[in-house]
Formats: sequence, C-alpha cells, structure tokens
Amino acid sequence: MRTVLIVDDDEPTQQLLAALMRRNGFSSVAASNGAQAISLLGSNEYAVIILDLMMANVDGFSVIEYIAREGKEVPVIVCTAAGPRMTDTIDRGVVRAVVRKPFDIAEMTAIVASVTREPSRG
Amino acid sequence: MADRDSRNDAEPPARTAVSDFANELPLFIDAVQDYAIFGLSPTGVIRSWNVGAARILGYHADEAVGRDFSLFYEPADLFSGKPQHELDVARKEGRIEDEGWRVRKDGTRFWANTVITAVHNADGSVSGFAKVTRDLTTRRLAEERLRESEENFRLLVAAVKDYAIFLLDPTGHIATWNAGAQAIKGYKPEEIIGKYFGVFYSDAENAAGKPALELKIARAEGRFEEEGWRVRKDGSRFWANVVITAVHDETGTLRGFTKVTRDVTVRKRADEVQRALIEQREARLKAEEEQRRVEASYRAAQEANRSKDQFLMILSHELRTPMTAIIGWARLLPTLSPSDPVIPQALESIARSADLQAQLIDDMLDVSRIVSGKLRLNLQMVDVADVLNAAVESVRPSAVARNVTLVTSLAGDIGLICADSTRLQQIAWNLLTNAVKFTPGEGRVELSARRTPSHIEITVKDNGQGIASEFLPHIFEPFRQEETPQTRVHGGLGLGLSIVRYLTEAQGGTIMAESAGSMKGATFSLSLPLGMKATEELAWNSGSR
Repeated sequence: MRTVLIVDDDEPTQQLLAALMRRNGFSSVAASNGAQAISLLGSNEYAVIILDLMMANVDGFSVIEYIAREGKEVPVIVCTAAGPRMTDTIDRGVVRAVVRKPFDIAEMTAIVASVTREPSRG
Repeated sequence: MADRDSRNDAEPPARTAVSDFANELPLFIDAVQDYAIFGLSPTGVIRSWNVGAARILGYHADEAVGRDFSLFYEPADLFSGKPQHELDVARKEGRIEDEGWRVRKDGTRFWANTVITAVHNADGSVSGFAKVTRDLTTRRLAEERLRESEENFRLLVAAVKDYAIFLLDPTGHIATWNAGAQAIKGYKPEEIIGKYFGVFYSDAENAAGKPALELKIARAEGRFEEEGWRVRKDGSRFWANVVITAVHDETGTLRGFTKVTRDVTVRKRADEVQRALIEQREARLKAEEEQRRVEASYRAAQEANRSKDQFLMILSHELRTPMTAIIGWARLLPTLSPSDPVIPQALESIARSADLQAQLIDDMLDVSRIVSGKLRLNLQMVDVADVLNAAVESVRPSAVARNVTLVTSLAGDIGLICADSTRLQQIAWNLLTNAVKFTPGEGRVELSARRTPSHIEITVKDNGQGIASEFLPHIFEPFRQEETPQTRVHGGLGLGLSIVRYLTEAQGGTIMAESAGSMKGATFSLSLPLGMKATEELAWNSGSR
C-alpha cells in the first residue's frame, strides 16, 4: 500500500485527510510541521505529500525548498487556507497542484489519483 | 541799570538846576567799575571821569578830563562827524544810544554800548551830557562766533548732497533748500522756497491730508519718521526715509520744522529682492514640508492598508482552517460505514473546529463593538474564585493536549468584586489560552489571585517562549502578533490581548505584560478595583472606542 505524507498543523484536518486517503487506498503518515516532514522525507519514500504552508517550526515553503534542493521525486499537493498572493510564487517544478481550504473531498481525491497515477517524471 | 536810570531822569527832561555838573555826580558813580560814566560839556569836552571809565578806556582822569570825547572814536567815525552828530541828537531828543567800535588809549578797539543823555539847566538849556559806555566786546565776539558758526552750519547743510535738509515754517511752507534737496527732489531753491511741502506727495496723499497729518504728529510728539514713496519734480517716485522734527524757540513757540529726507530707493529695491528671495525660499520650504506631510500621510495610509490587507489575509486563513475539517467531514461521513471507527474522532474534529471558528467570530464581534463604542458591561457582584476556576476548566483540555501543566493558586479570602462576570471569565480565558499556546510541551502555566484592600490582583505566569523586548510595547495592540504572515507559527487573529486590555480598562483595571525575553517565559499582571464607580461605568458605556 502506497503511503501519503500529510503535513498540517491543524489536527482535525490531519484526521480528515488521513480518513480520506485510507478510503482511496492509501496509508498515511502525519506531520504537524515542516521540521517533522523533512525528517520523515529523509528516510522514507512517499507516493505524494499533502502539504500545508503556514505552520509553526519550519513552514511548507521550506519543505518545498528542501524537496527541490534534494531532488526528491515526490509529487507535492499544497493544501492551504492562504490566498493566491502567497501561492503565486510557489515552485511549480515541485508542486503539482494547489488546493484551497476548505477543499472538496472529491476534488482532492481526483488530484491525488492523478498525480500518483503518472509515472515518475524524468 | 545805570543807563536806564539816567534815561528815567531824562524823561521828562530833567529840570534840575545844575551849575557845576561835575560836582553834582554822586560818589558812588565815581566808584562804578563796570561802566565808564563821565560828564561832557555842551560841546563834548570831558568834565568828569569815573573808575570804570579809566578801566575801560585806559585813560586816567587827569589824562581824559578837559579833552574832547571824540578821542574814543575811530578815524572813520571822526571823518563822518559821528561824535558831533550824537551830541546833536541827544541835545534834540534827550538821549542817544549806539553800539559800535571805540578805541582805547592803547589803540585797541572794543565793542561799546554807549548812551549819551542831555542834562538841562533850569531854563531848559543843555548844561552838558552824561555818557555811559559799556564794554560789550566779549558779548560781541560771542555773537560773531555764533553767527559764524551758524553760517558755517548753514553752508554745511547747504552743501550736503546725500540728504535733503530743509526748514518748513509752522504752516508747512518750505523756508530753506539745500543741495541734497535739489539733487533728490529736482527743484532749484527759487522754484520751491515758499511752496507747501505737499508737492512732494502724491495727489491721493494730499487729498487724504497726509502732509498735514505728519506735521501734526511732529508737533504733538516732537518728531515724525517714516519710509514711503515721495514724488520728484519730474513726477517720478522715490522711496524716502523722512524725519520731520518740530523746532520751538526758548519760549516754547513753534518756529517750524526741520525735514531730513534720504532717497533709499536702491536699498528698498535691494530689500525687496532680498525679501522676494526669502519669501521664495520660505515658499519652497513650505512646499517641501507639505510634500513631506502628504508623503507621510500617504505612507501612513499605505501602512494602514497593508495592515488591513494583512489582517484580512489572516482572517481569511483563520476562518478557512476550521471550515476544512467541518466541510470535509460533513462530505466524508455519509460515505463511511456506520461502524467505521473513525466516526467518533470525526465528530470530535467537527466540534473542535466549530468551537474554534465560533471563538474567532466572537473576538471579531467584540472588537467591532469596542471600535464602535457599543460594548456594554453587565456589572454585578461576582465571586472571583468561581469565575477564575471556570476559565481554568475551559482551558484545561487544550493544556492537557499540549502536555502543559496548569496550576491554580487562589487566596482563600479573595471574595467578591463588582465586575462583569462573563467578561472577567473572558479575560482569564484569553490570558490562559495565550499562555498555553505559547508554552511548549512539559511547560507550566500558573494562575494566581489575591485580594488587596482596594483591588483584586490576578497573575498568569508561564515558562514558555516569552516575548521579545522589541515586541513587548505592542503586545496589547489589536491585530499584532509577534510574527509576519509568512513566518507566523500560531493561529488566531492577534485580537485576544487587545480585547483583554480593553475589557480590563473598561472595568477600571490595569494590565501589564512582563518578559525577560525570548524563551524566558511571560507574566501578565491584572489589577481590578473592588468596586467600580457608576460614573466610570457610564463613561465607558458612552465611550467611542
């Protein structure tokens, strides 16, 4: 079973995404901040990362930078309550989709399915 | 005096019978030193001689008596027959007075005042003459010096080219004219002397009576001075510095006015250029100042806009976050099996998120009421311990979830206070929530309260991340959090502490935040008066904050 890394500081949102991913056939691991996420990425392979941006103790932008710098081949879906002004400058080489909170669970399901169905780029 | 006395004796002509005039002279006349007093025969032969005569004319009595009195006259007077003429007049009119040069024995001249008085016999015939001579040389020389001095002064004034200096008679008609006046005003002396000095003024000023007014002021105050436009003979104008001074004689009678006028047109133009430059510079500085002010207010407006944008961005983020779980679970739950073990967790998530959102909305509404002055307090006697314990219990779940130890230390005698129970609990809840939020796991938050004779003092102390010293002064300002949106690590709108301060002050209290710095914990100290005066309550209720 492929695993999704859920990075979000809001616990109810973590639980919702975990339940949604399980229903779609993924297992999931949750991180409450960027520091935990980077630590997990260092030693694990994930099918996809669902990443919040505004978090305590290393935010989502730093995680994106880390992935770009390390050349990790993991697709990233940004899931944020922040507005377009904050997501306009996101590194589109790493981030495959931006989903705004509150999100439609069908849309999130479709996006996860679409980015995980493709073979790895390159 | 002597000559006047002798004249009095002569009017009416003395009818005293005097046979030997010399013998009749009183001894005191003989002793007079300041006047030469001597008797003459009807033909002018000297008959008597006093001490004064000897002193003034230089002859001893024996040198003078028996000689003709023409001895003392200058050759020119002798040539014109002046001595004989004087005797003729005195004989005919009783008396003659003269001033003129006379000659002493040593040939030196002196300026003499002489009075010759006829002395009559009983039959009316002239028996002789009394002559009184005074030496006025000193006075004469002084007068000459004065005249010379005056002449010099007149010449000096006449020659001055840079100043128009002239005299006006008491009615303002020009009496004198100097070279400066001619140079400045263009009139020759013969063209202007005798004219009214109003010719130097414009028609409008003459019509308004300005020249007469200036004389009136000079007369009343001694002096009139001004700078103003005056008119030359050719009609051109010049900028004049004018001083008019009233001149009085020794009896205080107005004799006229001196008028001194300078043409200061060049200086005036220079002043105007200078002033124009200064005004230009001031205008430029003012414009620059205005521009700075506009820029500052523009920056302030931009800053306010940025703050508002930032706040709206945060508000949007904070409202959307709990909605994610609420909406997401609402859509997901119907697709799950009723026995799915995640369902209780889902319901708990929805409830927590809804509570968080409700809290945000309440804070927003409170701030809105505060800003519009519509927040109302419901004051009553409140049991402080009950209220604080209720606040602690409502915060405890999140403290437990964050593994933060929550300690309460309330004094036993804390008792009652006149306050708004709901708002007091809100204050305590906000301070505790804030402390828990900024205290990491294994941390500790302590609420303590004690009663003083006049106040209740409540303290919330944590050993969490503290407050940076540069942010401490802003800690109670609305929409302020110690972070920017990009780096903000804690949720919330940054309204809690501003609401706490408002509610505290609205109930007559004070609040203070202390922190030794980052990672050194923070202490919030609240002091509320035991009883709040009705006037203060009214003031707050009608306040416009």
